Amino acid sequence: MVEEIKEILKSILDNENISQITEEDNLYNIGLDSLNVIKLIISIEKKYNITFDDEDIELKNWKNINRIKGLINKKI
Amino acid sequence: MDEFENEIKKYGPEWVILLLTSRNNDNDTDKILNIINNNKIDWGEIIEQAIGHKILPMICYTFIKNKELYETLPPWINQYVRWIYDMNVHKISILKNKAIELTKQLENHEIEYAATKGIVLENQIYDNKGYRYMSDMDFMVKPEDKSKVINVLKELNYKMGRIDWTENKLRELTREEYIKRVFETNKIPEYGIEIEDPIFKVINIGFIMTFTWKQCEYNDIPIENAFIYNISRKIGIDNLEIKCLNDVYHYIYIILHLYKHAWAGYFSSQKKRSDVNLSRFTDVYRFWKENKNQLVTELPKIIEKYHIEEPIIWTLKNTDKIFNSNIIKDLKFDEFKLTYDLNSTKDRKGNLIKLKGDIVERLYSKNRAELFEE
Repeated sequence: MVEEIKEILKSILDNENISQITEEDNLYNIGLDSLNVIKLIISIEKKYNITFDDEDIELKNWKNINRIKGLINKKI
Repeated sequence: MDEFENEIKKYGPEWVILLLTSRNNDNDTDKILNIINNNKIDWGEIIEQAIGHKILPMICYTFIKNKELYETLPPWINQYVRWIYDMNVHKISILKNKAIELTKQLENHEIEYAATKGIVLENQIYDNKGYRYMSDMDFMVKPEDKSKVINVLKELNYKMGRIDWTENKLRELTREEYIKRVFETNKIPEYGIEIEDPIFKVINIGFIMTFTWKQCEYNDIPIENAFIYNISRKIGIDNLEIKCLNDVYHYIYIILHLYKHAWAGYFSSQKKRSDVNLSRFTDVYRFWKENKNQLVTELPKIIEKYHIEEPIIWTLKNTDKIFNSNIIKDLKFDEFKLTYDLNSTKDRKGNLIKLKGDIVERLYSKNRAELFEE
């Protein structure tokens, strides 16, 4: 799942260094912002055929790969 | 030199006709007539700019109410002027009736609210004549009442969505649109309702829960502080009334709303309609004209209390530039030094942008990309 999330991040952030980040690295420090996080959420929803609740969508929940994994696992 | 002679030379007589229509001071109608009689007028330019600035019904009304002006219209346009105005009157009537229906239910559920902007201003400062352009109804509620408000909307058969202009129907928000709205914690996502009307099939409604906006760098005004002073105001149908902010708080809200559109990155988006326009400045100017005596006394106190001098003074200085008014002088704000230049804005990421030209240039421009300074 981590590699799949990284692939999605690579396509959205257009950053090849994504493969080197850890699961705890702050994504908002490497280019994620309030605009492209929407693309991230939609891409993840499509990939895993899930729909996040409003409280899951809060910006702080998308801070790092670890948190994103947690959100996905809650849903699948 | 005649007033606005420089503007006629720089922007054309059409632009000044829009300014004078918006300003509507004594003798402004005579000035419009004088301009038409002494210049070649591009009527297509007037229509195009008026649509972009959301003042086409106002232009139409100005020409209808004055016979001499009406007779200056070319024959291909004069009947459309009547139709456009009448359609606007019709739409406003629908919105007002829907507002009454909604506010009754809000009150039944003991939800405090304040109607804002057009639904109030149309009667208060635009004479209840049906010429102020209104796209939807706007209300302010407390954040803690959000779910109660949504329940009331659902009870009245409103659904979350926006108008699809090609189908003239309500369409659901796309997932992307919905998520954007979840992020905008200061407002409830748009709700709308399809109605039985031969022309206007969808009515949209907006609920705001703050005076400011996401990423606003200025202090917010707690809604409960403003709501203490709420008043009831006639809406212009029979003797029915709805609750709204008192004049000072409503004026502040109108100004902050304009400032948001000037500074929240809309300028650098491609949607020109979201940037500031003449209609918003007209609200600010005309509201001042109608309520000057009260505002001169009360406005500075509230501005100082919440330290919101910058957005208020920026907006009023620009209003003075557009309409040749003296609001800043009357408020004795002449000496206040703005942090941000009058001719600046910000992009969507919050970077400061300096523009070539002043606010009139910005309003007049049809290609804003040309205004970015190198």
